[in-house]
Parts: sequence; structure tokens; C-alpha cells
Amino acid sequence: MPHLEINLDELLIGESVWRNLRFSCERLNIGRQSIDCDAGQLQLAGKHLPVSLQLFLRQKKIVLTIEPARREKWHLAVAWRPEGWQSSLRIVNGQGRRLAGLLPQYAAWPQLRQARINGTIGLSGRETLLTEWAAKLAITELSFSDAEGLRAGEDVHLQLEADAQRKQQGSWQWRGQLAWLAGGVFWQPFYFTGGGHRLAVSGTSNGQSLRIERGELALSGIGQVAFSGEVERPALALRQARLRAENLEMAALFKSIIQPLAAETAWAETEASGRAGFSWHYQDTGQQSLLLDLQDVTLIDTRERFSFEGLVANIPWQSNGRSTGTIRLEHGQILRIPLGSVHFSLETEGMHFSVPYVELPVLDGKVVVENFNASRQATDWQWQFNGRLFPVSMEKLTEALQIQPMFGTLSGIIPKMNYAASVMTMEGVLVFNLFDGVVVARNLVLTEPLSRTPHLTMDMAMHHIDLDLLTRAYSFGRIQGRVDVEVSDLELVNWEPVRFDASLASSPGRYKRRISQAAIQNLTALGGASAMPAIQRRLLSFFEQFRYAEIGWRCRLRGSVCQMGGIEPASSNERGYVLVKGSGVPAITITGYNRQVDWPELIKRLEHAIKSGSPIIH
Amino acid sequence: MIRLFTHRYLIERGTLMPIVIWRLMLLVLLCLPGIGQAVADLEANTPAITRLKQSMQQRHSQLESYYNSGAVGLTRDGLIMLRDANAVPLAARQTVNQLVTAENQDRNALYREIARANSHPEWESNIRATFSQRWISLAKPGWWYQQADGSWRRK
Repeated sequence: MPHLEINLDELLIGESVWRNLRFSCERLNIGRQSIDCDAGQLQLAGKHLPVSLQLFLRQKKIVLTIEPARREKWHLAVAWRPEGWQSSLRIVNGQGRRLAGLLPQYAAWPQLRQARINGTIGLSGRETLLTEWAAKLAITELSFSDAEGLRAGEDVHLQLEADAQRKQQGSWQWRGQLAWLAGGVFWQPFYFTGGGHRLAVSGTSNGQSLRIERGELALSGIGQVAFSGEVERPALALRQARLRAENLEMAALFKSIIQPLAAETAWAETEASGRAGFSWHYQDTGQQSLLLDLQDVTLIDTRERFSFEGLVANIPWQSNGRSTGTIRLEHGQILRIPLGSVHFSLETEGMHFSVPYVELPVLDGKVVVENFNASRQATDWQWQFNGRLFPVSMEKLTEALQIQPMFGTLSGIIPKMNYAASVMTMEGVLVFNLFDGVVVARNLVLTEPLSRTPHLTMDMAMHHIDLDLLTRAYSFGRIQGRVDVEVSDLELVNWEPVRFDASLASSPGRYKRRISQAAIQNLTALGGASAMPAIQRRLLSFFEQFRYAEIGWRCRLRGSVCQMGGIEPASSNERGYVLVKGSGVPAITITGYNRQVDWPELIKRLEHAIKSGSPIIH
Repeated sequence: MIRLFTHRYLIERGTLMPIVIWRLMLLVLLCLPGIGQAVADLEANTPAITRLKQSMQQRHSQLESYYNSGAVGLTRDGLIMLRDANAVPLAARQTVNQLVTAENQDRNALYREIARANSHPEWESNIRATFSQRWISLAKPGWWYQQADGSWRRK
């Protein structure tokens, strides 16, 4: 029986090298039509693989079958004809790791760990030249990973159909379709699971470039993105690209793509719905244009810092040139302040964005924003605007903010507001009406407004506040009169005060000064147990209201402790301070003794007392 | 030579001199950058700090198993990091990433707020350094932490 043995010291395919290949066949059948070897053996990479070989002499065809494992078969047929050669590889339950050596190996790329392959690969050519190939493969149980596990896939199921033809001057025309049917892929920071994602691409390539003429990516649950582009070879530098999409589902788009990309911003905690489209063009070294189209989009911050509903926008942008877009919003809220329907134009020019004028309905009033200008500086955004505030009811505003009710109106000029390096500052003063008085806010600085701990600092002065309106609003017991309040060095952290120097004093001038029995009792409780002499306490039961000359209160808040004081030190006791100085007959004087008060506790009790209608402050 | 001279210098001037010099050295050390944090109140409490601590405590139960497995480690700059994603099931890696990002936002805010509560915002980096050591000392055996040279070590 003839015996065949072929030894190859080195076999080079692409960049892969196999050494010491040995094919042996102990029983070679040589016939007139064919040469057969039913039980050959291929020694490859230290493994012995059973091989059968048939050579059909008349047809000029060789058939090689390798069965490395039970139910696994690699069946290769190659036929020669005068016009060229044809081959086909049929794979049944092929282990993907056997192909791992044929794939490009880059240290930074994820490495193939496992895959099962079924399908066929056909190749044809002339002499040593490959002229055409086609593949139809089903890949299951695919897993891959890089060393860190940050780009990895598990149990992925793919279906691939691709073919390519060599054209003139060595260029190739190719097309391919890939369906991702199951499995999960984590590609930091994204995580996708299979279930209908599809990619279809066609294009050409040569030694200098790879051109995608037509590409379509269909992401299940999100929508379709059409794309084209050109990549320079061998550097793989992007020369130009176009992306276009319509009617993308915002809910899935936000969750799967935008949130992972915006992990450290407020968008990471935003839920979205509606539809979006875009068109993007990249050329040579930068982005050329972008068109963003939003249809009935809702954006809701899960931490309730903002929400926008019924957002419709069409925003064109060019790297060189001016464009005008439109934005329409049905309603929304920022920091619990409701916003009404608004429609405005947005002008863009490079990384400069401006809104010349917009009227923003706020409760029963409105804010007019003028000359809004935003620009991207290095890594951060800067913007500024000025505007006007048309009367907003304080009652409605405080209700919306879920704080103690106040009466009056908020209106005035909004001086220049600047935002840079996460800090918003106000130049000039903000004036508004409150409890029939005037409030002036100045030195407003808001740091990191959407961060974990927004900081607000400002100074405030209130003039001629009507105590009657104020005390009736809080069921505190009636006080008639007017006061001026100075709050300097006010600092709010996460919208809670941690520092201020406040003083309240009767306004100068002639007006009615009366204090009710209930108000006296509450102020007395505020001032301490013995805030009123016994003789005065007896008087309380006889009269409903009393005259007073002056009211005064001071609080120096540091952290959670309020250091309190009054109009002046009490003459009878050096620890005490006068809160209400009596006048006429009967005269009532209230002295405070609590020098230090826990502010959050005081506010909590006040809120409880106001809700219950019987304020008692201990 | 220097040691001999110093020794003789101290002896010649009696026992009072070493004490004075020691105190002067201590004074100089206290004035050096980084030592000032020794007087910072790390337990300072403001509503913002309380809220941040509560947020971190709530998140800790979700992160603890990843500290135990070594997937997440304590970095040398007082933050945490997904150091071995292979130790996390594939489907949970994005969630762990999000937890790590949120935790780091809270930690950065905490250091900033403690510095502000001490009325010294410029102490933030020193407070961060102190907390970094504190987290490592409080870490359970088996948790991973980053050493000063950037390498990782299992406690």
C-alpha cells in the first residue's frame, strides 16, 4: 500500500505562521480517476487531527475533510480550471478558536475566546490571485474580551453574509450584512444585548482607503442610522463621514447611548421620551455640520431638578457659518418653578449660540430673557443674559416651591447674569415686592447649580414689610406694623441656609403698631420661659391687643446654630435682650433669653405650628 | 559629624534646649502645607454633608460585594475605581460603572463640603488625602486599595 507524507517546516498565511506541519497517510488508494486517503492525519500546532483527502484527477479537484472533534467538520474543496480556481470551505460546528490564529492580533483588541461556526466560505481566483470571495456564516456561543474586561461579549449569536469582488487596479468592491440575534456586549461605557440589531454595509477598498458607500445600522428599540464614510489606510484615520437618522426612540436612545456617555452630568439621571433625528457631517479634521430634530420630546430629571415636556426643536449647526433654529416647549419646570409654553429662535455660529429674545411664562407672570449668549470655552460652557421679570405672584411661587407662603409680587429688572466655570453670578441688583414692601437682592452667586451640593450666596435687604400681611400668612398671631430686614452673607447649601447675619427692626415712620395676645404668647415662647414679667402676663388675659414702640430681632447663623439678639440688651437682666419694646397703656415688653437656637429644629417647629394653626416655639 | 555636633550642642546648653528646639520644629511642621489639615474638623456637619453621607451609606450596600470580590478598589486619591471588570458579570458591568461614578461624585462633593464647612476651601486636597487613608484603614480584609506608587494591594 502506497504511503504519503508531506512535511512543511513553515506555512505562512497572512501574518500567521505555522511551523512543523506534517500530513501523513498510511493507506493511499491510487486509482485511475482519483487518489484517496480515508484515514490521514494532520499534525498541526502539536495536535493530531484526522483528515480524509480525495484528489479527482479528471476534474482537477481536491477535497480535504478535517474532523477535529466529534460533530465538528471542516470540509475544503478546491477545483482548478483553465480560467481559474474555485474553492469552498464548509464548516459544521467549527470551533472558532481554530481560526483565532488567522485573525489580526493586536494587544489592545479583544481576543476571541470561543465561538461555534456553521456555514460556508467560497473563494475563487486565478493562479495566485484571489478575485472573489463570499461567506455565509452563523456564529453562536461567541465570547471575546480584552484583558481588563472592559470590552467583552458573551454568548453572542451572529449571522453574517458577505461577499467581495476584486476590481481593476487591485481595488475591492464588497458588501456585508450582520445580524446580532442574541447575547450581550459590554463596550465601556455601553452595554447592549442582542435581539434584532442589524448592520448592512457596502463599499470599496484599496491600499490607500476604505470607503463605506452605504451603511445602515438598525438598533432594536432605537431606530435606524444611515451612514457613509471614508477611512485612510493604513493609518485608519477618518477622512469623512456622514450619519443620518430619523424617528429615533428617545427613551431607548437616552438610556443606551446618551446616559452612559454623560455619566457625570445631570443627563445621567434624566429620563426621556419622544422622537429624535439628526444629520451629521465630518470632513478631514473636524465636524462640518449637524442638524438636530426633536419631536414631542420629554426630558425628566429623576431628582426633580428640571423637566421639559412637549419639546419640539429643529437646530441646524455649521462649523463655519451662521444658522437659525427654532425651539418650542409646551411646559416644564426648573427647580420646581413651573414654566409655560415658550417658542423662540436659536442662532448658532460655530461654538457660539445665542437667543436674542424669549418670553418665558412663569406661573401668572413671565420672564423675558434678552441677549442670551453661550459659547464653549476649552472644556466648559460660558453663558450670559439679561432680562426682565413681570409680576409673578409670591403666593403661587412659594406654593410651587413648597415653602412657607408669602404674599406680594416678584418683578423687576434681571441684571446681567453670567455663568462660567460652573458659577453663576449676577451683576447689579434684583428688586421685587414682598408683603407690600420692597426686597433688594444683590451679590448673588450660584455655584454648581445642578451638582450634588449647589451653593447660593447673596445679600438681601427688605424694606417696609407689612407685618400684618406676614403674620396673617403664617397664623402667627396678628402684628400690625412695618419692618426692615437685612440679611447679609446669606449662604444656602443644597437650598438650606448654613450662614447669614440677619437683623429685623421696625421701619422708621408713622404707622399703626399693634401686637395681638396670640403673637405675644408666641414671641414670649421664642424669647424664653421668663420673657415677660409676671405682672405683664396677668395683663394679657385682659386685652386682645397691645401697642408697641419697636420690634427687633437678630440672628447670626453659623452651621445650624443661630445666635440670637434683639433691639437692645434688657436692663433687668444682662443675659436678656428686648424683642418688643412696649408703648402706651397697657405696655408690654418682651425680653428674649435664648441666645443660641438650633435653626433646623426651630424651623421644623415653626412649620409644624403653622400647619397645626397653634404655633408654640420652645 | 553633624550628629556629633548636634549632640554636643544640646548637652552643653543643658536639658532645656532640646525641648525648645523640639517645640520649634513642631511649630514649623504644623505650618507646612498638608499639616494644616490636622486641625480641620473632619466630622464637620452641615445639611449638605449629612445628605452626602446618607447617599453614600445607601449606595454602600450595592457596592460592598464588588469591594469583596476585588472588582472595585479604593484609589489613592480618596475615590473608588472599577479595577477588575472581569470579576463582575457582563450584564452588571455598566451598573457597577454607574455606581462608581455616582460614588465618586459624592466623595468629591464630600471633601469639598468639609473644606467649606471648615471655612478653608483650600484644604480640600488635604482632606481628600486624609480621607483616602481613612477609607483604607476602614476597609475590610480582602478589599483592594491603591498604594502611593499606583499599584494595587489586597488588604
